[in-house]
Amino acid sequence: MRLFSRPFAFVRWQKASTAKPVSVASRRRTAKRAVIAGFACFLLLSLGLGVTSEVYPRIRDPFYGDKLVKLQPKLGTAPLIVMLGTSRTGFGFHGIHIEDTVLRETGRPIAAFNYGIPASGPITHLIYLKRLIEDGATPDLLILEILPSMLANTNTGPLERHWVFGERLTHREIPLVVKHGFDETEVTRRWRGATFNPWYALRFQLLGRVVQSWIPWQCRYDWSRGTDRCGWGTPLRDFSTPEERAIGTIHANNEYFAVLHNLQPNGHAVAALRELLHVCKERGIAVKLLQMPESVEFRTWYSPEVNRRLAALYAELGCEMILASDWVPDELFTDGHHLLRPGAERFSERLARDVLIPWHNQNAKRVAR
Amino acid sequence: MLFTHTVAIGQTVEELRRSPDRIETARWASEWPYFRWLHEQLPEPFFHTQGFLLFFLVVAIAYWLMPRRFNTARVWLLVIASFHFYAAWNASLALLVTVTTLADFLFARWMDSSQRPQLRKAIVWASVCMNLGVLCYFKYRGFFLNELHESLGRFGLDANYSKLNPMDILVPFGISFYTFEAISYAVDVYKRKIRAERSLPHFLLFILFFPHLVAGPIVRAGDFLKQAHRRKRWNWLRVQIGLQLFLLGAFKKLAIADRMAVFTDGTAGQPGPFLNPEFYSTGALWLALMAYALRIYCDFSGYSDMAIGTAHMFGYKLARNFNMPYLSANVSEFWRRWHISLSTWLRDYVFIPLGGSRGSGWATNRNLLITMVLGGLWHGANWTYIVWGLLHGTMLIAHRQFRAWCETKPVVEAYLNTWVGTASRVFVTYICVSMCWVFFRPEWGKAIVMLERMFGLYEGMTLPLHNRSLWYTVVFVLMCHLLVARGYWQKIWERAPASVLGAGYAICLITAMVLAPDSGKSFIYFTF
Repeated sequence: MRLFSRPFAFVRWQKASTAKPVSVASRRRTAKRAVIAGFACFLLLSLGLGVTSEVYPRIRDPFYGDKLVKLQPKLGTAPLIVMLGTSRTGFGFHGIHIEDTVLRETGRPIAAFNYGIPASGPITHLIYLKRLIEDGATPDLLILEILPSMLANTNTGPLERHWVFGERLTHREIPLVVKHGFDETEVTRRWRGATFNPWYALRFQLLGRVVQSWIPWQCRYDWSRGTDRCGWGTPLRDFSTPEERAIGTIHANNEYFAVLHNLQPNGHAVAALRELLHVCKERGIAVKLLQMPESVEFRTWYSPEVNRRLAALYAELGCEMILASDWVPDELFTDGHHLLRPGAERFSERLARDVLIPWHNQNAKRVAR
Repeated sequence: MLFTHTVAIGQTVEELRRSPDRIETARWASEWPYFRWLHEQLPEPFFHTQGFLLFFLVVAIAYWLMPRRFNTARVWLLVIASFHFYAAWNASLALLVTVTTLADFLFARWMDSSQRPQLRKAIVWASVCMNLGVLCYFKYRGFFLNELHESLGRFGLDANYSKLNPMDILVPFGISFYTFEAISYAVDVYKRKIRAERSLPHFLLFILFFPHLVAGPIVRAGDFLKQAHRRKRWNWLRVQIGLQLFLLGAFKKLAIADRMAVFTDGTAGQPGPFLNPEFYSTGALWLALMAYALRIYCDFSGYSDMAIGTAHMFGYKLARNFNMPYLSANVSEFWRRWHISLSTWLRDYVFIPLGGSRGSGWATNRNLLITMVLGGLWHGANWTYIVWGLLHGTMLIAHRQFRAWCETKPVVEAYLNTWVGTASRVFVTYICVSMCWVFFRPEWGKAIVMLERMFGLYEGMTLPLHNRSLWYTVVFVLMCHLLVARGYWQKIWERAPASVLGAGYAICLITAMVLAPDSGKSFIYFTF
């Protein structure tokens, strides 16, 4: 009780009112203790955050953790449909619209959740699926977006290594990414940085929780926090001018043309995709692959040869493939591949009618049997 | 319009990306494998990097483990460590600095032993010319040759050489600082203010001591060499002061200066108002100027604090370099608070030898102007820095005249000394000094465009980050200034319990780390 009545009893301020100068000997003693206390405090705080971030992924990887928090209230309420994908999915898969459409048409609810994460690919999706299963959020139907450029086989490893850094991973996930072509030294170095020097390595994740506007957008990790309750990253605008779309398409061209024109879909990314499908099979998760809508110009960047290679790959994977590339007209994109709000509504409406309602009806029959 | 923006921004980003490669190529033209390895361990000569902290830890442990009676061995250790610190960046230039230091040592010994005034004068000139020659060759060669090339071209004459690209000229870091230290030493020995140093390691340490080697403070031989000869005893109080200064400097650099750099220089995807002023609105440019004023202060004073703190941990006390300059009530006071080691150097070795304020008013004004123009040129080989110096010189002259006028008007003087008057003077001084920062860069055209747009009503892009973080930082810095100015900070750190101080240090370091931007910015004064 004494401790609680005087919680700061250990802090004894030297009285200034006496105006007696502090002796040098006393200051030296204080100095020694202060320096040691400073180091101890810093080590303790670093260790604390390092350990916490390892067991609590919301700190390390807010992309995943923030969406999980939104997904958790939906668990167990209705058949769970999760769409794993990239920023295209993030802006395109309108969960609330899909839930409403399915409920209206079938009279039975579903829980639709958008797990679209910017700059992700098969390896990120594999990690996230494993995390979802571990966190008790196993989907009944997984819709997996295929972003062809992420399947590229480059000499230096999968493209995703440019975005999925060691600090976003837990120690157990390192062997998985290394197996799929990430540089072990680099991943381990960054993971070690996030664990032993977490205040620096995880600064954007931490700062983004308090003052997002202080961080340049390239460094922000709060994408998932700004989404709606179904994980949809609501586009800021409903329309774009032709000039804005042209500039957006130029940027997209710079980013994608070279990769798409001579795309070789194999290597580590494809291996990760196969592993992901294997995990789904093992767990009894229904999977549908989907290629998101693209503008007419964007679709011309795939050479005929690349289209043939992709078709061969999709056939080989042995999963239902939904080619939604031409579902949305050009004026409903911002840059030829990211959808505006009306584009997202149109895409989600068609996805619900053509794919999800039939699956939902079948699933209901299967459950009834 | 939008297309033009996109293309221009793309070009700037591309240029920024390419420039380090060009420097890198030049840097490694003639290096040895050992120094390449060293470079990998300590890639940048900056104090707030992990590489430096490791280097510092190794040197400090070795230094303090050495018995106290082996003071010269300790000095040698610091000399060797300092050489390696420089050589990690560029071994050839580290050798150059060492050789010129050796020459300065010999010149001074020769001068000290000689009784013939003519010979002494010749030696001091030789020493000064050697140092200025090295400075001019590396720092001003490109500027003067390019200006000559242009001037000859204007008269239709052929210069018979092609213009030099400033990006291809490798300037040894800290050259402006250590040449000034060497010059002041030679002059002081010549004037018999100090005796020439007899011990080579001590003199080498005076020039090469790594905490002040990169960007000052400019130390004086009289202050430093006495300390170098004193045997050092481990002292927790000094360690605490050193640590405190280092943390303060790191906080200023990482949490404020580098953060403000995002407002002035922008991000990888959006070059900021100081790089592309033509695309920014008038309001954004004024805010960017405020951010730049804060950035340059925190960048340089943060560096100085870290340097002084590091030196403290080896038992050396370097001179204070900044004293809250933006609280100055006039430009003259500003220069007594800003980069104190340079301003006192200029006063002692340029202004006073020119005649100082002993002559007529006109002569004093002339001396002020010459001193400040040379001060401007010291910062960089470009017309913009000369204009910057000229503006400061003009402001100093204007202040001198105004002060003389006020002395005849007691009412005005009384008003100016009220708190409202003082606050107004501080504000006006801040605005004047900040306006001069527009020229504190190598591109003349950009400075003019920026000024033009600041005084018009132009629309354009907003700052690369939300203004809120800028305003919070400004208020925070202001409050810290007031805390220190009122003496509260001194009271706190002298009387607070060790646990509170320790927690404060940890929180200060953690806050600096959390607020650090994505890529560390180089020190502005590192290039001078």
